[in-house]
Amino acid sequence: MHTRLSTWLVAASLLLPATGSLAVENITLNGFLTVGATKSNSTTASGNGNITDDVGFDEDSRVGIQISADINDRMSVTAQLLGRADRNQNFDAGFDWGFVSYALSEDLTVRGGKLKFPTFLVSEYIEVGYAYPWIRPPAEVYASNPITAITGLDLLLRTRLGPLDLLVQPYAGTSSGDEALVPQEVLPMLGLAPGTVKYAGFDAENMLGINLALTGDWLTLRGGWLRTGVSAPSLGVTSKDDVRFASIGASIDWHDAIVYTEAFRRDIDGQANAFFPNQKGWYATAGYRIARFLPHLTWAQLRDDNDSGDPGTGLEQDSLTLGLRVELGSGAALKLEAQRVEPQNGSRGLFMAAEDDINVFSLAVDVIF
Amino acid sequence: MNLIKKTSLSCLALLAALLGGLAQADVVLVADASLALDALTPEQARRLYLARPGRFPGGLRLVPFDQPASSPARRVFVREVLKMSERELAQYWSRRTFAGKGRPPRVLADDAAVVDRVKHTPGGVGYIDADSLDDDIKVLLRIPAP
Repeated sequence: MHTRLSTWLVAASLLLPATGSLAVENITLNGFLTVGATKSNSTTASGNGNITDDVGFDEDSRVGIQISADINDRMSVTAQLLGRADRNQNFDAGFDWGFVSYALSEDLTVRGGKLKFPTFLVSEYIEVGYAYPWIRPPAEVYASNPITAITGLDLLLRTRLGPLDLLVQPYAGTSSGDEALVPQEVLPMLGLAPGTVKYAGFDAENMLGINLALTGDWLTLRGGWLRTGVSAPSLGVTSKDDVRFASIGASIDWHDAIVYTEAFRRDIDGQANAFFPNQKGWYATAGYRIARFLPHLTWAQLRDDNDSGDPGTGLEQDSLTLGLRVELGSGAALKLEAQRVEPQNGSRGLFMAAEDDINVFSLAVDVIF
Repeated sequence: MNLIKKTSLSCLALLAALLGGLAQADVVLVADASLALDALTPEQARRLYLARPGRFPGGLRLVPFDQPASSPARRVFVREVLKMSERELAQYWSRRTFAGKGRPPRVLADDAAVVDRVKHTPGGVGYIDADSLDDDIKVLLRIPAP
């Protein structure tokens, strides 16, 4: 007993000065903020109710703080606090994700906790507007996966392939507590009036996936695939319906020219298909940097991929976006965008109701600190 | 007329380069004299400061230290070794950091802080103006003043 106590005391006395200095030295805070305004020319609001013909700030405005702490030279903890307009247009803040990371070797790291989901090129930092050219990434692609974080594990394996780096990131876990926008078409089934913005919680279990990225000085190629079982008890979907999701993409930043392009395909079986129909979509962005200015143009398409007999209603739209990013020194950017959205084949696209076309104007300031 | 103009412009450019050379000494990447490594290539240094694979030569765990954006040594290092602009570097780290996939090297106040820190950090590496060298540290890579 006494030996144990003294062992502890010695250990504690050895550890105390070290942890004391670590606590101050090795905690890093980083932040990001976007203030954005939107206005459209249509009385038909966007599907989430945020973009209307009144000037609104709910779609793009948010603030985040990231906290990282080194526990030792192999282990660290990282978490991100995010505040934004909630589903009811009130401001709400909470932990978006947080994980423990352990470096098994120089090139192999295991992470566990709540991990930001690596669906697309910018998904893991989608709230950090400063890190990409648009005010928001093209909705035709980025709105297709309502899972934003998973609770589970992933591996980050990095290897050098000549001048390129390969990242292999397998992951496994579950997602519960994420909410998806309920399609307008199924609102009557829930006894709700058309035009209601309704989010429903869903669970994704037995999720297995992989994210691959090949990165060079001016090129990134990525591909991802995942499989999960989805249920949404509040919508009567109890069967853990099979979901498969695949995506590929590339980004180029060569001298002053930039290109982003991505495509996805989502297949959902069973009852869940009524709420998340099969879809495919793609976009391409090209821009050219002239000193502080980056004008860019984006073409995006969302298409129905259901078979006849699938219960879901296809949502289709095309959009053309002209944007300008202006650097305001290092760590800040001003962005302007004009977007023409054309819902296709009689569907409502990503808006509340079918229209011929809707113009959306957006302005945002992105800051990192 | 045009030729004279061109010649005088080149003379001015040469003079400016010479004066610039006098003002800015070489930048050196240094480590404690006891480090079990004597040299880094520019590519190894670049991988180390960008936290890319292949950053630990021979498996030796290195800890890079940075300087503030206002530091003349940093301006040379970022341009000549990282081959990036400050804007590109800020975007690179914003993507890595906010994705939770890496963090930039710690920024220390000045050359003196870097020298002090590399002496007391196992595997510590930092860049300084060559004028700030002392006997207890060794040069892993010399970046000639442009």
